[in-house]
Amino acid sequence: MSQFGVVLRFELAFRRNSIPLWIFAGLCFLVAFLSITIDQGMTPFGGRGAIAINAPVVVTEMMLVYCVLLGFPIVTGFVATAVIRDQELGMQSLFMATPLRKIPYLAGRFSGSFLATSLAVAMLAAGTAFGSLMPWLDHERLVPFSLAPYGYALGVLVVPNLFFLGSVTFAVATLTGRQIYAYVALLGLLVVYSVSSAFIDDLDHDFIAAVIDPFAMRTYGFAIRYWTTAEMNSVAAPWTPELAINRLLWVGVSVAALLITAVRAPWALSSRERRTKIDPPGTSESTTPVASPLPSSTALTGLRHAREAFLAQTRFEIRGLLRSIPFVVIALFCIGNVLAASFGFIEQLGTETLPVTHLMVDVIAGATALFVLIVLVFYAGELVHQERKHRVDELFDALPVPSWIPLATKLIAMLLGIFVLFLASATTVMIFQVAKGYTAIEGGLYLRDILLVQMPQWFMLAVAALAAQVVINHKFLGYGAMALLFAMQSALPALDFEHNIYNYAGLPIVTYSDMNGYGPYSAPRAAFSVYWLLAAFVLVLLAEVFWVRGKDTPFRRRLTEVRRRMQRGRGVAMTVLVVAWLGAGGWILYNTLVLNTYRPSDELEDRQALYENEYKRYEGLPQPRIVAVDLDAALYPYDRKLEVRGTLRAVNETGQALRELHVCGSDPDVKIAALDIPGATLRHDGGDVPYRIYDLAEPLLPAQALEIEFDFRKSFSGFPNEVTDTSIVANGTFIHSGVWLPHFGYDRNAELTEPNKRRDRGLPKRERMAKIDDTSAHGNTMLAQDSDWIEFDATVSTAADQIAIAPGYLTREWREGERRFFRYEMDRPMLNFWAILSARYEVSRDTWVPRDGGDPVAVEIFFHPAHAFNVEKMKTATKASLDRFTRVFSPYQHRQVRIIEFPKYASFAQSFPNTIPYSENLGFIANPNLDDDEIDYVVYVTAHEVAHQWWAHQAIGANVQGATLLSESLAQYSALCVMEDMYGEDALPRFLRHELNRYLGRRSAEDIEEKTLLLVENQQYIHYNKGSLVFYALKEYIGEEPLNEALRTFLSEVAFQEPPFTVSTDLYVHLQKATPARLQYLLEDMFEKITLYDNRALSAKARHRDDGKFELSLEVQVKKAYADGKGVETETPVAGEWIEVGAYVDERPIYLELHRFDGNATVELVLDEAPTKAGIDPRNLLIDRGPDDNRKAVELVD
Amino acid sequence: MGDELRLAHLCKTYANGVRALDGVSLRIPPGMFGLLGPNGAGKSTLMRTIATLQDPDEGTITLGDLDVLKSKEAVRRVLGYLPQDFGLYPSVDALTLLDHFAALKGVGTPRERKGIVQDLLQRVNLWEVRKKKLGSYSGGMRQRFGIAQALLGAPRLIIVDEPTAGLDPQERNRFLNLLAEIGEQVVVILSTHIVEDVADLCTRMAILAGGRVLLEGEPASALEALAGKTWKKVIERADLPHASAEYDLISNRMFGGRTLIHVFSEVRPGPEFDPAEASLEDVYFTTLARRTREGVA
Repeated sequence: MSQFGVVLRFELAFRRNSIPLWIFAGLCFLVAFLSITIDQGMTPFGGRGAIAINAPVVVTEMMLVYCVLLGFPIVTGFVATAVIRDQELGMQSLFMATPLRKIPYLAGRFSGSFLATSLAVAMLAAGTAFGSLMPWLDHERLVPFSLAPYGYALGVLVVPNLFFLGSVTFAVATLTGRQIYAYVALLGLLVVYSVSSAFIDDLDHDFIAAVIDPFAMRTYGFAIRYWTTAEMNSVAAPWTPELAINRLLWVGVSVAALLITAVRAPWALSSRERRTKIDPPGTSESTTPVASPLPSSTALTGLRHAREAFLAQTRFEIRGLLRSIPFVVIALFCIGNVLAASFGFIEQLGTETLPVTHLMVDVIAGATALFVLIVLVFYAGELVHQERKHRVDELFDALPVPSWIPLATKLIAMLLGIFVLFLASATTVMIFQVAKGYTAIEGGLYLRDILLVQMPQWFMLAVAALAAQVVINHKFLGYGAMALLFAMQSALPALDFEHNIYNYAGLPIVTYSDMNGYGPYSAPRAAFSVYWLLAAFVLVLLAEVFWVRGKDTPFRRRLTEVRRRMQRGRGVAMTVLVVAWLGAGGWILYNTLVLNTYRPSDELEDRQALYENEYKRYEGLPQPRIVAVDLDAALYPYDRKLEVRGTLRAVNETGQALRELHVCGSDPDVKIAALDIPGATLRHDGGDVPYRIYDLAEPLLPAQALEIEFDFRKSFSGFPNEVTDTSIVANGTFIHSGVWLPHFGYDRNAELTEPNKRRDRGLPKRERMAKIDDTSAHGNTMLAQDSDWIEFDATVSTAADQIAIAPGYLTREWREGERRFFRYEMDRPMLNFWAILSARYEVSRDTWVPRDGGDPVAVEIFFHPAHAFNVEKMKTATKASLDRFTRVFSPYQHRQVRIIEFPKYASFAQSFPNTIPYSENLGFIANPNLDDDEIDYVVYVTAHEVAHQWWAHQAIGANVQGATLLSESLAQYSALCVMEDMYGEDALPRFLRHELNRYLGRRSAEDIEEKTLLLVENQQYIHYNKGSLVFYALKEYIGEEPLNEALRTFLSEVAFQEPPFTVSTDLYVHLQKATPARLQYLLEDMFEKITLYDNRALSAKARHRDDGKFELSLEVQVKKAYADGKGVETETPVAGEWIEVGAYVDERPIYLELHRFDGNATVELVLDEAPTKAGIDPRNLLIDRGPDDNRKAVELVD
Repeated sequence: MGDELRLAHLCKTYANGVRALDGVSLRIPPGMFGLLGPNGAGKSTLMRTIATLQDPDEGTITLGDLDVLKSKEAVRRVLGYLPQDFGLYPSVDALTLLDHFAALKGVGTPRERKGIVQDLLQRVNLWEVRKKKLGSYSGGMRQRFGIAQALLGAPRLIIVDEPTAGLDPQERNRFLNLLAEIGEQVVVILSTHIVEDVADLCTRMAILAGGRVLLEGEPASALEALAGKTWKKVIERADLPHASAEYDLISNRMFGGRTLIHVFSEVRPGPEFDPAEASLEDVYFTTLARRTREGVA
């Protein structure tokens, strides 16, 4: 047998006897098995929407993620050490003294270890496959078993990844002779991976991200980014050029690493063993030691000794940790990662954001987490076993030092190390801020966030890691315990165990808002921090009594020792701590369960199901309609208290007498202090499900009105498990009509929608929206089932230093004591869709005067004083929008537009009548670099919301399919036009490219069924992203004026209409009229079908003619497919289609015309200039799954 | 005069069934006390037990008035311990580490500490290399560092476990001198399997094997007991089995290519035997051999 064979067999046999490897193999099997079988496939892998539990994509992604997560420890533990373990055990000299040659030795060791670990990791496939066959899985959510995805995942992703990880760490460890450098190499790979993330969102460089990710996670993600559900459930083995390049690249790197190892690895004793020992001067002659008694000294005792020893050991531990190579490397990588994250974070979706401190704080938290985690897990193991590793434990253990000193000092060193990481990160981002020209640095916020939000959490985990190491007293099992803890931390919430009281170090999320600081988040966070810190101290004490001292370490022995130590005061301390901990827990339970209601997700879903089961039968029951609302809203923002009193007038518009009134609310936490319905008696009260049925003493006759007085209140006491209600906060209250008004009748929008969850609860399949031809649904808009146009007035009172805003015009403002009052009155009917906001605002006022000299419109921005950056731009965009929309569509119905900032608890902007609440982290802190063609989303969002004053507040569709085409798609189109007005045509391609990417990407996350644009069922990727693309293309195809004419006509027909409301097909008729016959097919493809092109420029050749002109020959592929709602595509012949052909000099078009195509073709053009690029549909007007291959560089031929 | 260390009925059985201590009782007065025994005799277990690093299953240990097993903290204050097998942080220098140990041991105020550390490093002849990393120290230097840390704080109880193993003769000399110097006032327990160490240094000794004390006393009186009862003879290697069956063999070793045997006998076993001057080695081997025989019988 060859030498290689001998070594390989030995290595395999050696690994076969390795119990840790078997444990790992079992772990792989178990993790995969559980992920597939628990809760019908745990998110994020399976169990979402219509993607099967064992869909090839789910199987592949899961194996990929686990292979990397588990690959790190397994590879450093087993493959990297294959050769250096001989060095460490001092056995290398024994091997070297045999006739064994270097290459077979290295190759055998590596191959054996790599094979063994691969087999262990392959258990992932076994676990997944076995799991997918379990009988309790929902068979409707499974696809037939197939070996293909497992083969693909193992062959293309998992094994090459392990090979890569293994060979790199093996090379590094073998060449340096130190295992620690293998960890360093892994960290480096993590950084490469992390850097690749900075590219993935950048559409110009996503290819790079896909290629350089050493683990191919992004590469695989990139390959499937536009996949539909059907593809995800069926395609087992995607093979894209990126994947091929990526795999070749990294397997190549691996092979290179192995070759270098083979050449450079020393085949002699390692330097460590050869290291020459110094011979101190004076040892050669036998000097007699000084013969004198040992000098006497003060023997420190008691506290003084403890203090000295503590300080000395603290210094010693800190210096040891901070100077150790791994720590320095981790810190450097951490800084690099923070820097990369800073760039990545502020450059999202093609626009830069100002590096304001609260964002940078998030950057620090996100980018350091991994490194802090590494430090605390790794160093807990290192430090606890440090003395034993260096065999100084006997010296230390015999010292008169109490056991708490080593424990406490090691903990302090770890915490300081973590703190140093945070300081370094904070310094990095502050330098970043300054370099970006942003100087309003909030040092206090950094400090507060690091000390009060970040550190406590890491303290708890550091203590857990330390305690695990001490109690378990085995380094790798200690690591394993931490892995279990982390797994549990994320598994519990996923299984609807969402209370932080039983999830170790479970802390409520905090959101910092510039407007409102930590606001309502601080109380629960503080309480849970105290609770878990006490628990952590219990663990510290536990670790102290379990601290291993001496040589006698069987667990039984240690328990005897623990019992003894517990008697000495520690029992008291432990009791006190546990009592304090339980006390804090009791106090938390009182706050979260008694003063507040704790509702885990499944309970909320159960309640939705209950609502539907109980009350669905009343759907469509004739009810009166709200026609007038007069509010008296008292806001107490600093007490987080709210009292909304009001009168509403409801009229029976049904034509039949009504005998009962069904009043329902959407927020069970709103207390109904009064609800006075004349002559009504309460017959049924749903309690936790807010649904009340009243009997009317006198039937409400047709056209008869009812005045209802109500008094709705909400206040907060104590604190909840997680802050979910941020509607009323100290600075930045934002409440709306859905909650703060009695509503009539069953509201189907409150039903449970997720199909799998419905099925779990035995609910029938649900139509997402009423069919477009369901005329029974035409009587309502999407906004309310009990009202449309109303008269609206509101008195709002708030704290003296705040401004409160409601729709309407301010008619009076006054003070009463410490309260400030505002009276708003609307002078015309408006949709029953309103919001009230209150905060300490600064106001910027401006006026827009129509070109034809009509009434001026006030433009007002209410903003947080520190957020003045984009206020001028918002005003400009508002005025540009008013200018265009009044010119092109219709006059503006109000005399005022107000944009009002609210805290970042939500990140949207929303249009209410003459009132536009706008999130603080959306636009107010944007910093688009327009020189760099970035998208100015301040203008985009502003224009979109102003456009809603037309497309929603003038023309609103019935609550059926297609409704959001009328509001959102048209607002998108309107906003595009404003952007074009402000920045010219060149501003749009980049925006549209993002819209295309988002449409294609998000349709793959469709849960139910992709609808056509005409029948869109409130699906964002369709009404926003596809809407933009379609309307822009339509404008380019049929011309802007015909399109606007169609919209204008439609608007004039339906504006402010009474029920029944319009539907999308009404608009479609106008679009059809505006579209020439030859393009009718296109309109149909856009609105009535899901159409996907795969157009390509196959070749582009230009010839310089004798007359100085250029002849371009462009060979193109024209391919079109229709997709069904599940994403199954059917190719369809192309006949008589008009598609743009373009030729460019760099980015400047020199030719851009529609050509008629009947399939693939070669286009011949004569041009005046030499084109550098040419292509078909070069502007991507059509929806194309491969938008990048439409253009091709022109080859100049003779 | 220092305190006496008393061990009474110490027993220890490890989880794997090995009975490391089997009723060990000893009285150890101040001065150098040699603990001899073969590998696996239970010496290290005994040393670690006295050094508070592990507990016996039964028995008591007292140092003067101190109950060693109950007042570990107090014992550690007066303890100097040099384990058999220890390492040092490779990337720290001697001065730093010794100062660190001094601080942990509560030796001196921070100001005094400097002088104490300097004195000790000079004593063990490491002052010149005090700034060198401990990782570069030779075995002897490490051992000397070990004794330096054991001597910190003028301990009343010094335990040194196999301190001379692996030292060259010169190092060994220096080390033993150092021990001798301090070994007069306090209890010093020197555990070793090198008989010479004990012979050279100790005023009292014990021989431990199989967890039992086989002999306890002064080396001189032990020698006395053997006086005139040891005989030697040079034989051929091939005759060894015969000789060992016939005589009460104490030891055999190679001598000029043939085998020199020592035999215990009240009277001269045969004319070809010469009287041998009893050495401590003979005491040791006799004691061990007797135990083996008793064990067999």
